[in-house]
Parts: sequence; structure tokens; C-alpha cells
Amino acid sequence: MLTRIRSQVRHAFRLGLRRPDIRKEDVDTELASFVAARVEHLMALGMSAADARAEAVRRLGRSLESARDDLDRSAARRDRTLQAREQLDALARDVRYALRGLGRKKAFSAFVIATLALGIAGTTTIYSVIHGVLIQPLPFPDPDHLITVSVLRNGAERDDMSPPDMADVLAQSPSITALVGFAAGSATLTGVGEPTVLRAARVSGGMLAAFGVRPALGRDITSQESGFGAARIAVISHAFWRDRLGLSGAALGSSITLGGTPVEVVGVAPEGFDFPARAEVWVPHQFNSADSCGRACHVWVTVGRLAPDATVPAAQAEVNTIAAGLSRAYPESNARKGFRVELLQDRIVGNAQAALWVLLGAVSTVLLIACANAATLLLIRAHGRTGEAAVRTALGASRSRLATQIFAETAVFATLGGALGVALAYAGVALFKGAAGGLIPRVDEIGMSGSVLPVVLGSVVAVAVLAGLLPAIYLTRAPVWENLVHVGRGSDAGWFGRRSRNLLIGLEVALAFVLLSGSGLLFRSFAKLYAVQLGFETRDITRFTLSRGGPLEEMRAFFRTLEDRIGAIPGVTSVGSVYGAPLASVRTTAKVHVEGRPDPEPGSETLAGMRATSPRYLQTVGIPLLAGRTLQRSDDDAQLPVAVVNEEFVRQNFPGENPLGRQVRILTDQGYGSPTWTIVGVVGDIRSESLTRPPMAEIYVPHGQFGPGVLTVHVRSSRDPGDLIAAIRAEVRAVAPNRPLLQVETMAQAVQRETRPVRFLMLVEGLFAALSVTLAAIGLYGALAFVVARRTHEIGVRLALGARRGQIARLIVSEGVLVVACGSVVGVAVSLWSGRLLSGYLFGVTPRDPWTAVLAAVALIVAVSGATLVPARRASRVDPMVALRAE
Amino acid sequence: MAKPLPLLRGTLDILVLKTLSWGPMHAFEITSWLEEKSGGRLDVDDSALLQALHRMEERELIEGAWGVTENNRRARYYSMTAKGRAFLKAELAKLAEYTETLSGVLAARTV
Repeated sequence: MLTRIRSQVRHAFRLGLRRPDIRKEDVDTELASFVAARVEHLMALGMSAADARAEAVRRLGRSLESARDDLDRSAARRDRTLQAREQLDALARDVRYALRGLGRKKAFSAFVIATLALGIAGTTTIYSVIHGVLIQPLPFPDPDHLITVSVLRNGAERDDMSPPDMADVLAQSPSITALVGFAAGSATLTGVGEPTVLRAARVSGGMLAAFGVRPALGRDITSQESGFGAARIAVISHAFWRDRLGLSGAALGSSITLGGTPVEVVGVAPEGFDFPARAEVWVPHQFNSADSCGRACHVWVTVGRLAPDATVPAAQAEVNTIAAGLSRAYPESNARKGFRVELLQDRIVGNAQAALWVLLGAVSTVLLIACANAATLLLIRAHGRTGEAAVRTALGASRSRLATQIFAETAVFATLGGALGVALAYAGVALFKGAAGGLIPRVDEIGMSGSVLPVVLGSVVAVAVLAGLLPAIYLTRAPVWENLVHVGRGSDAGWFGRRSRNLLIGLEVALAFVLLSGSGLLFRSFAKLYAVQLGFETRDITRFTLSRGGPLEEMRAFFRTLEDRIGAIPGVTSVGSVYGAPLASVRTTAKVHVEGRPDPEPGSETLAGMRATSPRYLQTVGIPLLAGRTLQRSDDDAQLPVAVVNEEFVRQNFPGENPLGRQVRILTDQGYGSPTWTIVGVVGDIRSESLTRPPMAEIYVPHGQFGPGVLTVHVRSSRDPGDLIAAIRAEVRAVAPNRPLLQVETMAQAVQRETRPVRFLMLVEGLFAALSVTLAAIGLYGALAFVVARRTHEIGVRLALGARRGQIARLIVSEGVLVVACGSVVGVAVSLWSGRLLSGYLFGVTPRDPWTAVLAAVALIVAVSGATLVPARRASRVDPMVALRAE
Repeated sequence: MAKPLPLLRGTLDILVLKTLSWGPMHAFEITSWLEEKSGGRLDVDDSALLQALHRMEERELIEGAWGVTENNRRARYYSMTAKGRAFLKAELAKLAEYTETLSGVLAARTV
């Protein structure tokens, strides 16, 4: 209290002066009055005026000027110190004041802090994810030079590299010093307990060197060891070495059995190295013959290194030239085939990037809304303080002091919100990792770390400033005299107060609208995805994948026996197998040649998905037969190769013609045989690659005539999938004890996997949208409740003069609805722009879908207008007598 | 007139505070009070005194306020703060103890 009085006294007497010219003037005055007093004193002792003056100056030291300079310096230092101390005192006082206010208005404070905490927690969580996935470099030496080269077909479709193309790129591009091919897959490990499926990768050699890491033990696979007649060796992961071989040094040179073949362990990868797809074991890629995997054989995902001074654009320019040369030299395989060089990191995070930025945008919007909300509520409270502020201004408090007080309050809110937010973010990150597992790359690298600190601090400061800005301006610009007179009087908050309040609520509404329309777009996409005509059935179908190599006859007999045994399981109604199952990301496209027509130009052939099926497959998954007949078991043994095609195939190759009885040749990339197939039936189209891609042309051929050794067995049964799978496992064990079941799932799960990214984004964005609409509604409610409380007197007068209660309610409602409508209009404008960001996740709706905008606007107006009803009701129930007497 | 005594370090603040314990004074009153009480034997440099006043104000031992002298001149009147009073008391106690110890040591006779 005493310090406060003192500072006001100081102010009143122009002490603790801030301006240098006033300080100089004061120093001069003090010095002059001192010298004058000295001169008077000396003259009183009998000196002459001139002598007295000379003596007075002498006693000051060297000269009047230097004494003045010294004094000015000491005064300046004094002022600086006092001023700083005063500001610090004031700040401490403001913080204490804010903390006391916090205790007094518990519900208000808790609400503001909670909303800010949610906003900060959301921002921190999503930022942690972005940091882990997008910003943090890959954990390899010199990640800026780690690249990947892929095929770009027709300038757009990405594909893997073929071994000869990869070799040419490495040999001819000076910028690329290393390039290694990886093919992720699986390998069955036997001989160590139960047969297990390992995540395996076939590689072209030199992989650890390309990544710039050293083996933990032994050596890398060399490029001489892969290809035709590849060495029977393997490099194992550090985790494999630790978990299965107990970190034993004897692991090196020991033998493990992969896919029934013994291979020698020649190296252990360094800890944490698991590229690609969390691989556990790496083996050299093996070709059946020297030329079995040519330029059309796209099997490699590549990783390479740039020369130290090379850049991605430079390398891209080089591979463009190489691609042009190759397409001239090998038109049948390389026409319209380009290459694309990218940083490996960009490629890995590719698809997740847009989603994460969308989420960061959404969550920042929530934080912004929380800020606007806090500002609205503080603004309303600031109005109650205009009287206090006026008194303080009149007593000499400066405007910046009043503003500091508001900011101290928002800083306290923001700091507490930030602390709580960080705690929540820990939970948020864990939640996100759980929910996004499998959807987002590098999930293991996500975590709360020091790197989020700048974001947290930045958010806290931004919140304190943003939330305090308008209340501070409001409080400091209010005319002192008017507010002194009106202390405690009921009226609305004046032009500025009303404007800024409406502005803030309009902003909240606009931002909420953006989130709402975004989640609306995602919801509509999801609904459309759900309604997609798959062309096959999803109910009561369970499937798994099994591989069985060997000659065609053996394979055919094996799968036939297996299907018969599974078909005999009680409750199973149908069993059928296919190579290239729907939604299983197995791509086997082949070029189509129609017999009796000239061969198409290289690069302009029609393509078709190649499906090898057992006889009952089409029936099992419910693909309808439209013409001709379906495949039968007798076709397996017959000499004539027969095939069934889908409608899209007919549309592309036989428009307006009858395809039945026509003959086609199918040339696969993988170099399978190419007999001439006679079309015997036409079936319906299915979404085989993904839900969003339109059906492709497909040709179904009998597995018994074609191979290959990997089939996905589909089992139709109304039994519980768990029981069914157990029964299936028993049957598989009976015929093939060492064959593990891969990718066991129900058809419904396969479809769900497709909808997961949109579903995930929709749920998160929907959550944010709900939160922001709630906040906007609360802001509006608070503002209107305030208006009603302030205008009780006016309402009383109106009622006394004969206004009807309905009119009063309409008055209040219309004030709210107007703000909401304006906010929505701005929201529409912003969401027209921001919707583009979602375009990669939309399906069947455009980012500017007008219906979504209309629905979002209606939903928002209904939800937020609900917030006007309670204050409106209260206003209409004002008792005029009570209201008028209250003055 | 006796020869002026040079001031020991740090004693000026104590002397000023002691002076101001009589009531608010402006700078010349302070220096003439000191001259008078010491019989003109304390050599206080005027410039040093004025700077010392600023320094003490900075330390919040004293407070300055503008006033008008009997000769109708504007001057800064300095008064002692609570902090200054406590400081003076503590310094005087220290000084007394120091002088006592010092004179005790110096008064000891050699055996």
C-alpha cells in the first residue's frame, strides 16, 4: 500500500521522470539553486558577488559544465533504476492481483484456463507429431543427401524401378553415388520354435553403405551376391539378433532356415535400422535366370546417396536425360517412362504430410478460438472495471500501467493454461500414436521433447497478447471523465466495447465454421466411401494368404486339397482363392493383345489386372456373372486356356462387340508365360485397388493353368471369424505344417482399412469442430448475458412504455444472430480457400461443395443461436418495476 | 580554522542520513549543516554531495521532492525513508563497534 501511494506521489511531483529533457532541466534547476544558495551564503559572510560566485564554482570541482554532466549521469542512473524497480513492483502487484481475481472468480477462471489448456495441448500434440514425422531428419548420417529414385509413368503414376533401369541411372548420373534396390516382403523362419513370418526385404546389395551406417557385426550384402544365382546369405536386424539369438557373437556364420532354405548369417544391422517396412532380415534378391527381370520388371524401391555437392534438382535433370535415352533405346519397355528423384524423407512422409498440416491448422484454429473466447470474456469483465480504471487514471496511473494489468492477467491465464496444456499433451501424444498407428509413417519417432518448448512458449505468449489486446485497448481508451461520472452505471459497453465484442464472436464463429465445413466435407467423403459399390460382398467372408512354391501340378493339388478341407469345416458354405485379391495391394497389371488385331504401339497397350483364381472364387466373394459361364474345376485340367473378364475389360477392348469366344494374349511384367486365352464369360466390375479408384479392367484365369504360388483364400461362413480362423489353422497345419497364414482378416476389415485415414481425419477434425462451436456458443452466451444485465434498465423502460416481451426477446436474439450470420459469411469465404488442403482426402465431393457449406452454416447457426435463447428469455422476463427502481 | 579532514569512504552517506534525521532539507542546507556541526573541518565536495544524493535516492534511502526555499527558489528537498532510517541505525551500530574495537586495540600497551 505504502509503495503504491509513494509511486503516485512520485508521479504527481514529476519524480521518477522518464523523459531525458525534463531530467536535464531538473538537474539544472537543482544545481542552479544550490550554487545560488552558496553564493548568497558567501556574500552574507562578506564576499563580493564575483568572488562568491567564483568560490561557489570552485567548490563544485572543475567547472560548472562538468559538474552538470556528472549530476546528469547520476540522475539518469537513478531514474533508470527507480523506473525498472517500479515496473517490476507493478508487475508483481498485477500478477498478485490477477491471482487474487483467479481465486475470486473460480468458475470463470477455470473455464478460461481449461479452454486455453485444450488449445495449447492440441497444438503441442500435433506439433510433436509433425516434429517427429516431418521436421526431425531421418536418423541416418547426412540425411539431406539420402534420396530415392522411382519410375514416373506418363508423368504421373509412380512405380518401382526395374533392375536394369536402376543400374543405368547409377552408372550414368554423376550426382548419384549410390543406389540400392529394396523389395519388402516376408520370409518364413523355421527351425526356431513355431514357424514365424519375418518381415524380410530382398535387396540389391550395399544397403548399409548407402544409408551411411555400419553393420553392428559382420558385413553388408554386396551387389555381386544378388541377382542370378544369388548367394544364400542374410543380414539380420539388431532386434532379431537380440530377441532370438541373445546377442551371441556365434550368430555370425550360423545358419537359419528361411522359406525352407538354409542361409548363412553374414551380418547384423546396426540398432534401429529396419528399412524398409520395419524389416527383420535382408537377403540378396534372386532371379530365376539372367534375364528374368528386365526393364519391364518393376520391383525395386530404391535408396541412394547424392554426391556431397549435388542437389536433388541437379540429379533430377540428369535422370531426365537418362530416361529420354532409355526410352529411345528400349521403346517397348521404356516409352513414356520417366524417373523421379526425391529426398527419402519427403517420400516416406509423402501422404501424411497434408493430413498433418491440416490437423495443425485445425488445432491452431481451436487455440485461436479459445483466445478469442478468453478475450471476449475479459472484455466483458473489463467493462466492469472502467470505473476503477478511470479513478486510477485520474490519480495518475498511466495507460500502459492499466494495459499491463490486463496483460498480467492474461499472462497468468496463459501460463496456467500452458502448464496444464503440456500435461494434457503428454496424454494427447500417446492417444495420437495409438489412434494413428499404421496410418502415419515414423510413428515410433513421435514424442514430447524439448523441441516443442518453443511452440509451447510461443503459444503462451501469443495467447497472453491476443487475449489481452482488445480488453487492454478498451480499458485504456475509455475517456476518464465520462467513466468517472458513470462509475457503476448500467449501460452497454460503448461503441468500441460493443464492436470488439462482436468482432471477437464473429471471429470465433467464422473459425468454427471453417472447422465445421472441413469436417463436413470429410464426413460426406466418408459417407460416400461407405456407399461405394464394391462389386463384391463383405459380409461373412474371412480370408488369408498362403504361399506354396513348386511345380504347377503340385501347387494345384495342394490348394485343391486345402480348399476341399476348409470347405468341409462345418458352417463354411464356399471357398475360393485368388492371386491379386481385392484391396490387398497386390498389383499385377498386364498388357492386353487382342488376337486378330495388329499389335498396339509400345506404351499405348490397354492394361488389365491379372487374377489367377480357383473355380469357386468369383462365387465365394459374390462377383456376379453377367454373360457366358464362370470358371470351373474342369478348366484346370483342360488343354484350352480360358478366361473370364470384367465389364471394364469389355468396355476397353471390345466396345460394342461380343467378347465371348474372342482370344486375348496377356503380357505380364513378371515374365509369366503368355498363352492365348479364350474368353468364356463376363463378370461385374469391382473396386480392386482401392475404394476411391474406379474399377479397372480385369481378367480372371484358372489358377490351375497359370500359377502363381501365392493365393489369398476366401472363406464364406456365417461362423464367428475367431472360431473359423482357429478351424482353418488346424486344416492348414494338417496339410502344410510349416506354412504360416499371412494377412488373416475379414473382408469387412479390409474395407475398413481403406476408410481408416478419412475416418481418422474426420473424427479428429469433427472433435475440433465440436469444441470450437461449443466455445463460440459460450462466448456468444456470455456476451448476450452481459448485454441483458447491462440493459436491464433500458428494457424496463421499454416494457413500461408498452413494448411486448416477444419484441424484447427478438431484440436480444437478433443481436446474436446478426453476429453469427456475419461470422458465417466470413467463414464461407475462408473455407472456400482452406478446403483445398483437404482435397487429397475427399472422395465424391469437391472442396467447394455448396451443400456442405449450407449444412455447416445451418448447423452452426442453430447451435450458436441456441446460446441466445437463455439471455433472450431472461430479458423478456425483466420486471419493469424492479428494473426501474434498481437505478 | 583547523585543517579540513578528508572523508573516509562510505561515511558521506551516513553523515547525510544523520543530517536528514532532523527533517527534510535541500542540498545546500545539508552541506551547511555538516559544515556548521563539524566546525568547517569536514571537506565535502559540493559536486560529490549532489551525486551522493542521487545515488542514495536510487537506493531508496532518501526521497526527493520539489519545494520552495525561504528565498523563493525552487529546490529539491530530501527526506529520509524508512529504509534510510534502518540503514542509518545499522551503520551507526557498525561504526560504533568498529571504533570501539579499533581504539581498544590501539589503546593496548605493549608488555
